[in-house]
Amino acid sequence: MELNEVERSGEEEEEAGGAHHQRRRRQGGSPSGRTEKKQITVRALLFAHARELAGGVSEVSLHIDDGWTTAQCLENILTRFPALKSLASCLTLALNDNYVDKNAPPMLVKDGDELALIPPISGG
Amino acid sequence: MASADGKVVEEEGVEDDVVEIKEKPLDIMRYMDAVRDSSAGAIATFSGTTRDTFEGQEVLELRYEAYETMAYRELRKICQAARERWELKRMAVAHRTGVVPTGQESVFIAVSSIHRQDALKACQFVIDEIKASVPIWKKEIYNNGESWKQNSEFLTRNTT
Repeated sequence: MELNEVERSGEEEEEAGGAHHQRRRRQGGSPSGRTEKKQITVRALLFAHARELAGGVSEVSLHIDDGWTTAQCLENILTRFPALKSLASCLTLALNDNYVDKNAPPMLVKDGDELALIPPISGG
Repeated sequence: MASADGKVVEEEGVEDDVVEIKEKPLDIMRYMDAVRDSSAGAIATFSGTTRDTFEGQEVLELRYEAYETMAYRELRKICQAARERWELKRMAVAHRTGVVPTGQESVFIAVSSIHRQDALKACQFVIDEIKASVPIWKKEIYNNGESWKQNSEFLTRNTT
């Protein structure tokens, strides 16, 4: 399995315009002193067709506000990799090795969670 | 079982069940022997083999990849579900990943039971469930291109 390409995602890149290469410490606060929500990190995994559409990226670290749902995480990834949108309608999500039921109430992600984008499977 | 980052993956099946995902040719006899049981009157097996044509196009090779931690978990759940439905002795389920040349086994299932009907039905159930829920993907490589395949069993279960 190719899990070697890691892309950093989330706010520090957008805010810092690439100047920060290290993740901001959650407790460190922001230089501007504004109040911030607790930040969490979620590992997103891209497989098969999804990985190819994302240019070969198989893993993305999402540094996000606490309280995001799995669907919001997916939206974030689709924004970062617009080519994935062509597959979006048939993507299923799995959180920590369990399928996320599309018909169930929204599910929140926690720090350290693993969220997988599952394109239509074809094993057997 | 432990995942790559050392987390312990919950065991859901019976410990004797053989569940394997590997990047090597599947040793059919080893799985048959794994389910052999002197109290069983039957061993039913299913081999899924790779086809060399798709809609008239020649398939040169197939490439499989798995989300391994989840695939193991789903396979164990399927074995457990089969045991709840039928009276089974032993089970072995193996899926190959990586490049698989045409005409070779990509998946193999062996089930033993006291009476043959249980093993036969369980075998069919296990392959149908694999196609619907285990996160493994197959890409067919042709002379003039390639294509990610999609199992209808998965699409049926996941249409909103």
